[in-house]
Amino acid sequence: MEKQKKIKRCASDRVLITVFYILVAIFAVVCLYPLLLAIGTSFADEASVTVNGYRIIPKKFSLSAYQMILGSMGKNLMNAYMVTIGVTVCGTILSVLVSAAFAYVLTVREFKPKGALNMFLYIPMIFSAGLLPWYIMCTKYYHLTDSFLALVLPCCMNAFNVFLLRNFFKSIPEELAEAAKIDGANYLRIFRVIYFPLAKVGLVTVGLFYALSYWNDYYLSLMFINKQNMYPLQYYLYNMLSNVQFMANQANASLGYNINIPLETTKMATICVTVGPIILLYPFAQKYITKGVIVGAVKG
Amino acid sequence: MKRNWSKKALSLLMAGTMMAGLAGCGSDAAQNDSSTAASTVQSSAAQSTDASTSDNPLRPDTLDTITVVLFGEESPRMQQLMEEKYQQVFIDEINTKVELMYLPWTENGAGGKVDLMIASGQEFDACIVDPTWAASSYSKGYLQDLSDVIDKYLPDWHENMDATAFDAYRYDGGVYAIPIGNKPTAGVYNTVCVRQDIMDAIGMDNIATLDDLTAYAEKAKEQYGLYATYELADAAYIIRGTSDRNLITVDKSNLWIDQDTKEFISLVDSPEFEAAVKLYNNWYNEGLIPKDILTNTVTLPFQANMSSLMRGTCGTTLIENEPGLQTVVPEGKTAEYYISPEKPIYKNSYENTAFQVPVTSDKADRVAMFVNLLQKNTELANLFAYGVEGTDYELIDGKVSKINTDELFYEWMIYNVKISTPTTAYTDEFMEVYKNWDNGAKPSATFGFNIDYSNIKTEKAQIDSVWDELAKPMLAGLKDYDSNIDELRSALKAAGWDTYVAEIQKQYDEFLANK
Repeated sequence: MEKQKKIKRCASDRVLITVFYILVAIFAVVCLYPLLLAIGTSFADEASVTVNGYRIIPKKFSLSAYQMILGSMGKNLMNAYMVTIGVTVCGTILSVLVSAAFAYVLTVREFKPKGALNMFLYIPMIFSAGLLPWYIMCTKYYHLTDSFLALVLPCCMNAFNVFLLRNFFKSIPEELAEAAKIDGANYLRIFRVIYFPLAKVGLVTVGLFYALSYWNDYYLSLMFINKQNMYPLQYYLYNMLSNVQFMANQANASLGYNINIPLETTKMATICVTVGPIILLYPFAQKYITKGVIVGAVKG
Repeated sequence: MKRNWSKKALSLLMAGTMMAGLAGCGSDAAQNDSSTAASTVQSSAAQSTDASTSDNPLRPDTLDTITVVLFGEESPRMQQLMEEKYQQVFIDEINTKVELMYLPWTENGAGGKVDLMIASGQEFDACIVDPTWAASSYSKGYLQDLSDVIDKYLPDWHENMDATAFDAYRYDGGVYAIPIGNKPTAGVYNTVCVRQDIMDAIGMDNIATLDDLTAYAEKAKEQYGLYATYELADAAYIIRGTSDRNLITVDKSNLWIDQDTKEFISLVDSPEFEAAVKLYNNWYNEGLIPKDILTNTVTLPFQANMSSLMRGTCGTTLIENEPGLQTVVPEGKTAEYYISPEKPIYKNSYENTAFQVPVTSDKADRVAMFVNLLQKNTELANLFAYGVEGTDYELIDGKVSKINTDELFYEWMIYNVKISTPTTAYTDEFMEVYKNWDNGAKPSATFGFNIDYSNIKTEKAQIDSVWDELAKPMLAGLKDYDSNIDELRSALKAAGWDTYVAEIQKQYDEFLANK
């Protein structure tokens, strides 16, 4: 079989591509540098960080920050990981299902109240009742205090993501749905068999947005969770960091507070511990994200 | 057929989701069930503890539960001790079960979750506060007047604490929090902490004036390459050395009060400001002040051997700074000196920490008994701060040597010089100085006065902004006094300085009238 001939690039193209590659490589290094700095600093001795500043390769190596985080609280940290993973998985699945269902309804031409539903979605994007009514609603009426659902339900549907999905669904030719309808499919079947698979790019993108928001959320647990065994990872570390900060800044420190708190290195170690797992999601979802964001952005 | 199957599956899925939702929302009902069960246990415990051997005549006959909000995190050992030891002590002594709720330290202050909990009627019975936060909470009507309970339920507290501590929490004749802990606070931040090893090496034996301080800083820079400080020129120890007046700060840095005349002093308009800025300007020109003083967020530069001086607190540098410094400079020693030691020493606060009781709670008496217990005697103070003797700590020559390092009830909160046992890290000489640190100190003219900023929020924000933009570069020595003072004064005036001071003066007059 004849080998397919490659199109030969002209010299100016090659130069241009080389320049682009170099620029992208520089940009990648610039993006990667802070992360490497955080990793390096997390393994440094606190005193050497204060004297020498942040370094990728620490001048004086120390595991004290990780000992602080993982030490006697290691079990709690693992528990917090489990809670976060549970919340992220359940929350993402639920959010994608709810958002996709809502978005699909908004694209069905025959569905009359879709204008009202659109407004229902728009209004909270612009006006907010404020923190106190929301808090009272969640604690006094829905009884979400110390409940797993408190970490999932309050941000189960994001209006922006629904609009994004609606745009994805709108980009699917309506004729497909019409053909299915003629063949006897109902709306649920059309949604499940046609729209859901065809909007895979959008669903993955929105799913990743949701997964990230669930993974990074500490506010819901701050508001509703009092039991330490229900702390998710971010809240657990947020709590630990604010505790460390307090101890380090404790003015008129009392007897017994002569412990040297590894503040800066603890912050960096916290970053390393929290970003670890979620950062692994990106390489797998990258192709969907780029495609998804662009498609969603251009379709009106 | 297939279509029917999928419909059934979908119905099952939806039913399952609904049930899960109901189960989650119904968790409170489940909690109610469990709390009913718990109360059954409690009532049986109450019956069993009626025969308690406690000699407390105030011990109630019935068992009740209080929820106390603390900050930070509950350590594993604290959890264990709460279950196995402390709870029984609370029941035996005051027939009260104590439930602890921990929030992050970021919520410690006005506008945080505690305020939200009170505003929404969520039930808890006590929370630690400081005077500033208490003043804000009082102005919002969140706090309960505890005047009645403090007379009745704090017998041991009155033995081991000073009743003037209540002054920081008195508003309109009522008392709105119960202070806890008893530590020296006289002359806080009025001392300067220096490197005693450097003092010895350069042949200085005392620092009593700003000239002495400059000489010390110059030699420390010359011989050890250390910057003088990362603190600004409005530090209390600098202002103390700039004149014969006795000034204490009222509002962080820009408003001070003359202790003798009780007049408010606008720092910017004072000769002390001019002297402090000129001193720092000279230091900056001599290279004693780091160029990044305003932007570098070094946490502890003195301990990191980057600067030669910093503010002292209450003779506690041996505890606060020296151990950290010695990890970098093993032979490092520190000492605190009063600039102008002949001037009087003032006590501006008693204790910063207290327990408030929200208006939503009807258990103020139980909270008072709980605080009283934490300050009752050496045995209990050590138990709550250090744990069980033999397991969590051991006594060596009458001092505590910790075996367990997990935090229990905050040691800094409970520590009372009258009853607590110090740790082995502190020498007898140090403890002697520390215990007597407050002797001879006068109460400050603003002792117990807290500003409520709610009427001057806008002015405060604008003044803070001007302060950051124009005053701080001067106080850092980066800008000289003569060419920048007029701009600073007019900017402060434009930001509403007069309204701001008038409001604080009004509040202070009311404070004096009610005193």
